[in-house]
Amino acid sequence: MIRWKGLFVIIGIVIVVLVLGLVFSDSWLERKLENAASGINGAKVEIDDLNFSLFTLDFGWKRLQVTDPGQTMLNAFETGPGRFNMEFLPLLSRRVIIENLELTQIRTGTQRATDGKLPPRKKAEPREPGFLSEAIDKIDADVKAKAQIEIGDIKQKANIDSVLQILDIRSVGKIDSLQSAMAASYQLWEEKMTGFDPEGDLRDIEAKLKALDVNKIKTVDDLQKALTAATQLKTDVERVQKDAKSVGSDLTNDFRQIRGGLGSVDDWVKRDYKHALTLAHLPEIDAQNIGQMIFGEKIFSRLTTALKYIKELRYYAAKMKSDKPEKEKPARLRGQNIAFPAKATRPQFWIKNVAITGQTNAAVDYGGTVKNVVSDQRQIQQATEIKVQGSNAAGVSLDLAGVLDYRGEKPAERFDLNYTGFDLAGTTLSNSNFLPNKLNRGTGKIGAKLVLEGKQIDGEIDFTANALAFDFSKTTQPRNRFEMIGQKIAWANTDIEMTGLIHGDEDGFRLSLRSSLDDQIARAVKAIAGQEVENARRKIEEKIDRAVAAKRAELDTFVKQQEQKLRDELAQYEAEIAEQMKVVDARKKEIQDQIDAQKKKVEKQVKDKVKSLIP
Amino acid sequence: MFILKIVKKIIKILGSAASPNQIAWGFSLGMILGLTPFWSPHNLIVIVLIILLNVNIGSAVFGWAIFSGFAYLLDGIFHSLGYLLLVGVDSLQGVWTFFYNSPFLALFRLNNTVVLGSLIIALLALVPVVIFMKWFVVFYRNNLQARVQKFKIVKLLKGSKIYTAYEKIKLLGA
Repeated sequence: MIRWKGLFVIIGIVIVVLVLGLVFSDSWLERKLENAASGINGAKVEIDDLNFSLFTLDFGWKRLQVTDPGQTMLNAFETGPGRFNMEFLPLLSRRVIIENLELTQIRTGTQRATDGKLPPRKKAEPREPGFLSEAIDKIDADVKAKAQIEIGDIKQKANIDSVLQILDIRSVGKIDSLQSAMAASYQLWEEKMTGFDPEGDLRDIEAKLKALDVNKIKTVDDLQKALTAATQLKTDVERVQKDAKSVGSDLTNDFRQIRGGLGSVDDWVKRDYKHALTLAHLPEIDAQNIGQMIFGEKIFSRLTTALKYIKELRYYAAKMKSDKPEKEKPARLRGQNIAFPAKATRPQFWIKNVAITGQTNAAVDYGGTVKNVVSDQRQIQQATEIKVQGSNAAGVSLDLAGVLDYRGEKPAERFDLNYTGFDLAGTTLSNSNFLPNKLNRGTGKIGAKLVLEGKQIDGEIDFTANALAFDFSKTTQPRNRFEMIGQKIAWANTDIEMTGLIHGDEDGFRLSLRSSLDDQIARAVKAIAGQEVENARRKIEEKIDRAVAAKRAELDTFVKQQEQKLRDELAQYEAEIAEQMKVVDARKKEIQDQIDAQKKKVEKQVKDKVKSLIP
Repeated sequence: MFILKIVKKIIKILGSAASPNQIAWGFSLGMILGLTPFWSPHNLIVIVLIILLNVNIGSAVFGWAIFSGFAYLLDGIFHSLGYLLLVGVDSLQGVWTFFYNSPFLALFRLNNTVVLGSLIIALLALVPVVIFMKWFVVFYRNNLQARVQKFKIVKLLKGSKIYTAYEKIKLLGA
């Protein structure tokens, strides 16, 4: 039954595999790791001189290069020698647990000797765009749109008079439409008031009251019946009164709604101003635009890069957390891996500590740690923490702290960065024709904070640049006064302060970037062109105001008249009801008095009878 | 020429001295290798069984080759079945969690939809395939072998004129 020769064959195969493993494991592993990492990165990842010990499970390498997928002749980062050691027992349950990973000599943006582009391959199934994808797209679009704005000149022959002649003041037509809509509403109310008709009810009540003539009622029983009838009549009047109050309340509410339309008139007029100013080509110097033109792409591109990485982290964290993962379409014969983490066990992948050292492009030596790089944070109940600090003799300092927390329902990330005293020489700026494209000299200071929680982003960046010298060598000659102002102010400024804000949630995103340069340019433009612009603006606004004022007054009067008319009508009804109520009360009292008098009379008669019977 | 090789191989296996049991079990174990992703740890066990047990290795190789093609076609079914068992059946969650978190058992990658789906199908098909193959070998030897031996194509193959020529050309080409 057993093929004993086969046992020797198996032993032989095991020996061959072990020998080959010892000889070729390094290059085989290196190739495998490079392929897997390149697939994830989307561009080449290269490991030089990987060294692996099968017995101690020690990994080490001399150099690691990770290509920037956006620019494949650059490395996103590269490291010098690195090493880590895997725990053996967890490997038996396919868990990779690394106590400490050392990454030394980290540098970013280094040049590559060869192109790091991967050969084209089948594109992965596109994922559904999530909140962060939309945020990245919107930030990119906003920054690009604002970077392309060019400032026009006031002397673009804006002919205010011709603009006024062709100006279509839309507010007037809209006010007419509003008045028609209001008239229809008031008409409806008039019809409602006619249908309301409490007078008919009141007349019925009055007739019934008259029928209750106290003088004609002789017996107590009849009087009691009359009192009951009077009480019923009072209830009827109260009902009518309640109806009138309800109508009054509805009327007040409807008036409030109808009047709400009046609030739109101011917005229409403002739109007419804006439309006319656009036609007249009056410049609106928006200080934020200039800030974004110069620094926007530089600053927000880093933000979107960070958001892209966060998006990937969230995707994989959610995938590991998901109890019922979505069915995917994996490559043929590859299948989909489903995780079944148990709370009491260790995670599938866990680097407890990553010790990093490196140097920034500004020659700042830094060091730090990344703690708990883990496949599922819930299993260790700890978030991933990043802490990097560095400084150099020139007084440049770097402090970065970050927390990635995927333990709860909502993913949350927080980053704080303080980077001071770094050199700005050579920094490229805007692509504008008239603003500076590059900095020749300067030092910078950045304080930035980015907080993400679920579908909400809040970020703030404060940037101060000192001792600046702009490079205008590639800018064109200013084409107009505004461009000239921009250049002059940039020439004159050696210090710039800037604040960038981002806020986003499911309802939308808002970016703003203000710099001290913006305000200076805006002030200078206003000072030069101020009077000219102001006169033109006033002329346009006066024309619109005149056209709208008469219509607006007409509408106000119409509203007042209609409301007063309906209120008077209602007040009259209310007065009649109140009067009827008084009459009913008086009749009730009269009947009650008569009943009392009758009762006394009967009592007296009884007493007299009793006295006459007693001797 | 590949087809000729296959035909020759089948005829050789069926006409060999191996018992129907050996051929049937070899073919069925080869089927497991073919249907499931080759680089799965359970296949190491299957290979060890093929080498250690006195099954027909030729039929195992043949079964592996035939069912590799089926596996390629049935990949979608394996994936769907695996996904259903792993995600859709709540009562099995405990079993998969145990497999996933236990040393050694975790190495079998049963949390992969294709590995699980194909292994389940291969195991379900194992006994029927063994029974069918046993019956077929016996049937062939009793009823067909003599007639098949008389086919011209078989004689040619046995005489190896074409095949020998092909082998020579192949060697020359190499």
